[in-house]
Amino acid sequence: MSEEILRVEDLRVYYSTPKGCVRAVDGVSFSLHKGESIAVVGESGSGKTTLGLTLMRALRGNANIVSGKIVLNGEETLSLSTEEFRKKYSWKVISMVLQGALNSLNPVLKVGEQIAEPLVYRGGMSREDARKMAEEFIEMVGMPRDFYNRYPHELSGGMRQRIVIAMALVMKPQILILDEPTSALDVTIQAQIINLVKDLIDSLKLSVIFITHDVALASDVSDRIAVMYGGQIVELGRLDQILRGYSIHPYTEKLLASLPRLREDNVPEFIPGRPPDLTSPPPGCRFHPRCPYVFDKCHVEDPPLFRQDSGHLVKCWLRGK
Amino acid sequence: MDEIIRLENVKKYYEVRKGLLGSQKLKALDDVSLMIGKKETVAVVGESGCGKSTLGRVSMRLLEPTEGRIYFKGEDITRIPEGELRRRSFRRKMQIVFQDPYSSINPFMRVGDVLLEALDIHGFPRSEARAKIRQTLEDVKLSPAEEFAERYPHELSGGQRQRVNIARALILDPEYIVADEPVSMIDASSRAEILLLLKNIRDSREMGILYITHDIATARYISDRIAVMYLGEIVEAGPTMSVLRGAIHPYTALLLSSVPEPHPLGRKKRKYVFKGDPPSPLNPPSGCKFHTRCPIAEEKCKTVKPALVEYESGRFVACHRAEEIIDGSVRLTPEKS
Repeated sequence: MSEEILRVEDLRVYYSTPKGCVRAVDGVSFSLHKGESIAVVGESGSGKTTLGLTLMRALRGNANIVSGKIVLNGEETLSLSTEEFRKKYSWKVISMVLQGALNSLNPVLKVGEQIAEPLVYRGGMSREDARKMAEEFIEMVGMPRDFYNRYPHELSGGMRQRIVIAMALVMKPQILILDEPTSALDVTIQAQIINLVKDLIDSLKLSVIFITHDVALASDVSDRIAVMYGGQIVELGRLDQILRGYSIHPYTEKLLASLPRLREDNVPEFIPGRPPDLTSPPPGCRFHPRCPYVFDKCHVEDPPLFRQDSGHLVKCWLRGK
Repeated sequence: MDEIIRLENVKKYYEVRKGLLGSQKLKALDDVSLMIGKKETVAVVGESGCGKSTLGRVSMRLLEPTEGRIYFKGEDITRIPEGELRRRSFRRKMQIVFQDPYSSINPFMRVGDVLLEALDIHGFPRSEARAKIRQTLEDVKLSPAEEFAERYPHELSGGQRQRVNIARALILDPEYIVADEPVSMIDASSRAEILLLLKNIRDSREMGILYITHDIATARYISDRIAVMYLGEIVEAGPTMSVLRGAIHPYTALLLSSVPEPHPLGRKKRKYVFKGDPPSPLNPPSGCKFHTRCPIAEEKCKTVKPALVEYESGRFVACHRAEEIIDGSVRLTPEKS
């Protein structure tokens, strides 16, 4: 396998709220390789966005990184101050397209200027050069160069999403995090953006973390899938290992079974109950109150991620001892 | 089939201000006809701005149509005044379930009171209300009902809230329900439960349901017939499986090919897409409104608007080249982009 570019070890991020401590990310480990794309799949409240924001060191004030390591290009970065991290890594090594970012473009600035801005202020480029570079990126994400002069309101949702992706890429990062990049878009436009992301991964040799609630979408862009539930990764494996459906985590199994399929006859199932309250997650395995295969041990002991064949990890007592 | 709702040549135009003095017409619905029968779910699918929500609201007279006729069980209700709509129980018999279960329920009211309010508005006797509320909560699988009746919305998950919304509609024993994107804000693991519920009530309560969605896969699961809308018009309609297995209109084909599905080789394949964005409904293209994105558009498509024609029984398509597509002499190969 190619070179490891990012490694996350036992990461824990808790929010302090009036209701208590919310354990949004609770013991997450994985690594990302050069040119690889991992999808982080989970339902709302599973901790996937918090994970992304932590990797960018862009958490809100009430969030605490309690423990863990984030190793970027061999260097442990959690020991760096946020300031130091931002200077050294943000946008240049790792960058992110935030959820809904297409609706938070500055309405009174030309979109090209918004792409060029960091090149001038952080890259120390002349305005002239920055403009040229921004135009190149506008072209790269599939629009004519003269869109530099457009304002956000003159662009459709799909075009604005392309601009936001260009903004994330303009400092030439090695890692791009995309948080639900198509959730605000119609399905025909979503397909266009997905093709763009695939092209960018291949042409720029990007490593991608694709955060989504949609397993189908995840399978369109990722080499590996990490399934999150209740702040933890419950399964991590190659696309085929996850989707072929053998030795998978009961949650993944039920999540796949819950999808209405367009091209095959199936009766979608649902998972009874609701996701755990992360201020006081259930003891033992966090999925046990909803799990159809639950047995005694699951109530008391939290399973580790058991290694299956070739790097496939499953956090379930059915898959190891 | 007994008919519940029939729309005939319904138009809904909005005046949109432009500049200081000018105004422009936005054709949200442009000559739409549709019938929904008893024990039937009709799905209206399309992208944002295609007019599907307007269609739902006009069909139950939450919005007044600009032109056209609306029939409820054969009776023309297009011009019946509001007071009479209420007095004659049309309002009670037509209910809507909204998309957002978080904003459509009063956060300060207990679930039981939410349902009671609906009963009160329609003059249901208080003495029987309790039993009715309990029964309805059980029907939507919020049980034990006594317990759920005492809960506040914030104590419920998204899926449970949506069931409260459905209960609020059902408790009035409607004959027609408009479900406007009822599962789009619900997590995947609870979605199927809501769909199943909608499917069951259609059969057990002999209702007509208009299911509005952008998600065709869910339409496949719960609908009997499907109507595909583009820029205020129905471009293709027919029995659900027949449309999904053999889309005729190029726009339907595009929509279907855009839907992602879990596939082990998904990463390796590029999706086929059509170029461009949907045009603004304020300034729709001439002729066939889809011609600007259509890979097989001809000169005629730019100028002449195609009529919605029945090709096989129940299969309607508005496309000049429909016959060529059906007999296979023209193939839809969307451009790579």
